[in-house]
Amino acid sequence: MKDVDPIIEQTKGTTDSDADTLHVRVVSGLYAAHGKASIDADDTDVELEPVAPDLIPSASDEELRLDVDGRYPQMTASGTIPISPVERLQWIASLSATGPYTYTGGIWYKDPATTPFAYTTVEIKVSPTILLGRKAKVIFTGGGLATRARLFKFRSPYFRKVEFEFDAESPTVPVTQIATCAHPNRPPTVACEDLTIQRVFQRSGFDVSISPSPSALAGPPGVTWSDMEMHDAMTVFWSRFANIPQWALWTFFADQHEIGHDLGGIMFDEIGPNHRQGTAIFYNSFISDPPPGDPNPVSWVARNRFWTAVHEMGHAFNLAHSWQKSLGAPFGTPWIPLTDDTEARSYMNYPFFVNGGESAFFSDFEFRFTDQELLFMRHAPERFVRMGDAAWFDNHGFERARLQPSPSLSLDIRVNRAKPVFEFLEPVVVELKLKNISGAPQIVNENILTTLDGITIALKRQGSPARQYAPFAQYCMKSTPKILQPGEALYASVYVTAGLNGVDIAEPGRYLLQAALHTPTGDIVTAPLTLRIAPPRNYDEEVIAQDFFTDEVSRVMAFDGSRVLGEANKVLREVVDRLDDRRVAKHARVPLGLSMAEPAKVLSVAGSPETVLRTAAERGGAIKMEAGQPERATNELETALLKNADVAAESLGHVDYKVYVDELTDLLEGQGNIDEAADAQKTLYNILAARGVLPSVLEDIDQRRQSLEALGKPARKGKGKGA
Amino acid sequence: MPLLHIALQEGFTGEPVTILLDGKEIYRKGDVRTRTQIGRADAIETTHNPGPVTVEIQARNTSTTITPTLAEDVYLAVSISPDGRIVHRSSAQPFRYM
Repeated sequence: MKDVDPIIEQTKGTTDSDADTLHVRVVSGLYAAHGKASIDADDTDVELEPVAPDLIPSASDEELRLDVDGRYPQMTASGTIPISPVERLQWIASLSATGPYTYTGGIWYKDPATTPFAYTTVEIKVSPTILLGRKAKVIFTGGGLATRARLFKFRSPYFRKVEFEFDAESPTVPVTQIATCAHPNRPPTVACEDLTIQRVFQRSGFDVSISPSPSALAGPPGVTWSDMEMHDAMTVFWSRFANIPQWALWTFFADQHEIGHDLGGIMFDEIGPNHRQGTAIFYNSFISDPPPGDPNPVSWVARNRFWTAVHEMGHAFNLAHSWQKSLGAPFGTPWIPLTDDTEARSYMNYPFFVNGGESAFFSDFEFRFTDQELLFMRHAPERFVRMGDAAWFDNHGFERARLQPSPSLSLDIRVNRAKPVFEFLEPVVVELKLKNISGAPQIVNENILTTLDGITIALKRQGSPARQYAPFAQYCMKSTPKILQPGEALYASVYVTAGLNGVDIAEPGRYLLQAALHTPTGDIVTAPLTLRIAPPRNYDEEVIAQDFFTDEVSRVMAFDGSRVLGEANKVLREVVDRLDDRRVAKHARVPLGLSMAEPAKVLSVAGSPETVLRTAAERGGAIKMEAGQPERATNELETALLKNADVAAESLGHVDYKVYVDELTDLLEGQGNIDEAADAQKTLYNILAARGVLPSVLEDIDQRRQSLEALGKPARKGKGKGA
Repeated sequence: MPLLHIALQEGFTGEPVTILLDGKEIYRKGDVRTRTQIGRADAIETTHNPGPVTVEIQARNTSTTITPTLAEDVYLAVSISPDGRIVHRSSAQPFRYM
């Protein structure tokens, strides 16, 4: 049974502006475009097909969620676009009104980021008339692409659809409705009404239905509930139970949890692969204990029970507590850094945690979630929010926090390949790009991408909690101001396969990466990057993987070589010998070569490791110079970099490929092989030019080649003459 | 005798925790993990004669010592801060979770 349709919902007694007081969703809601709904950008009068009657999109539907009016508008549009039979692209944009029912704004989120959807701006014009069928024209621009226009038909004033089932342990009687003004401690502006749980979530943007099959369970008196028992009860008594991701939630009103009187409720379902399907509220707990001297203890208890139910149900939508918003790995997934909101007047805060305690909380509580929580519930990718989908607390941090409203810089995380698919064992090197997207010069620290100072990178394997990338070394470099002209960018590569957290990217499967640059005025966040690690090709690769994905090998890879980590070097040699046709062999040859290129200092300590800890000096240690093997190094690097050079550039990444070829060039030049050095630069030029690298970089390479050739000419002439 | 309630709350990631009361071990578990949806990992209760008491919490290769004076019931919340420190707060009221 529908509670109130938000299109016609009106509330009384608020002090909001007149427009907000009506709380009418004139244009907000869910829209859909069928298969070929593309139109000309200038076309304003397009005939529409009949509006589909339900919320469930067909596989070819494109969706639009427009969130600009009605209750708690977030001035946001989000959409999904089918990109394969099983996958959808999600985009999100922040909007401002530019005229009547016309909005525009920047797209700040794309998932997956690597789809060829480079549009940066969206403009939306809505025809609000109901008689002819509400429609929205959406024009995507930017990113160097041709304008893309789509026509959407209105489907629902709600953004998503969900079903609740309220079951109870008799004789507990669920409180699913309260009178908002029954208790005298309330905001003077709160609308006096009978508020239901259903309506709380309708106002949050959900088309809520209540299961017609509630159950009352009779349990033995005086017995408490464990999480396992509640999960078992859910599987039996919940009419909708399926242990699959679905927009459905079981809420159980019971007497007491085995933790005791101190636990008022819990989202107990972090059991098995499908979390967040069930929550429980315990009436024989502190939530039923009004404060001494409360002026209306009956309504205090009712409000507390109601509030607790919505709180626990909020967890089922993957909302964290207000003070846990910043909490990241190993607990969950702050895709982008968040700040805690300890004073939030939200269903997701603890009332007794705020300054002034419960009394202060409820005197200022408007029976709502915060804007950031609403943004998450309405616009985050479905898999983050839907019950039974993402694991509890996984992706809870999707919300935007302190994002710069009009950033002058953009940050990208990308890989230098058409499809972000990596061979098994192939190390993952990503490229960070910090670009001035403003019309004026910007001053940045030239080393910011090298030191990763103020930059967070989050990695997440599908189905696993996210981790924050922790590099093996954190470089402390002098801040060097650099003026970035409009359109100019800084670039750096990051080896993200492993770090201090261990090996982060190894197993076959999909991974998501996202980076954020923290600045005093807000965060600049990349779109998420999805990449895939292919399965092993054969048994050899599986066996070598056991030795390859170790801390020691990872360190050698990260530092481009080692003279002392002998076991790691043996593994890399084995990779080269047994898997020479695989990309990992190119990565293995680089540290094997570079470590031998020049004489190197090595701390030499005689004897075997001791059980009694002594300093190296006490043990007679000394720093010694070890000779290089430049010919051997040259051979390794030439094989890695110049043989199948295009594959090398793609796998090593453009930034590192240039660095390595430059080192090889130095090595060749140092050996007097000037022609070969010039050839190396020529190969570098040709490969990077073909891969679309910036002309300024190519110009530098060409100059070096010319310099080398100028050096080489006299030598050749001399040789010739001498002969 | 007054009650001493020690609650292990935020920040535990599966590490071993040991609690000593006046030098005597009263709690040892190898896998203490915060359930983020209630902000609680575990709890232990004991009674003690009125007067000062020494509570030592050992976790993550560090320890902290707390010396509350028991006259009435004392509720002690222990958490691991994001930078890895053991932090605590005490209350005269039971802790509540939801």
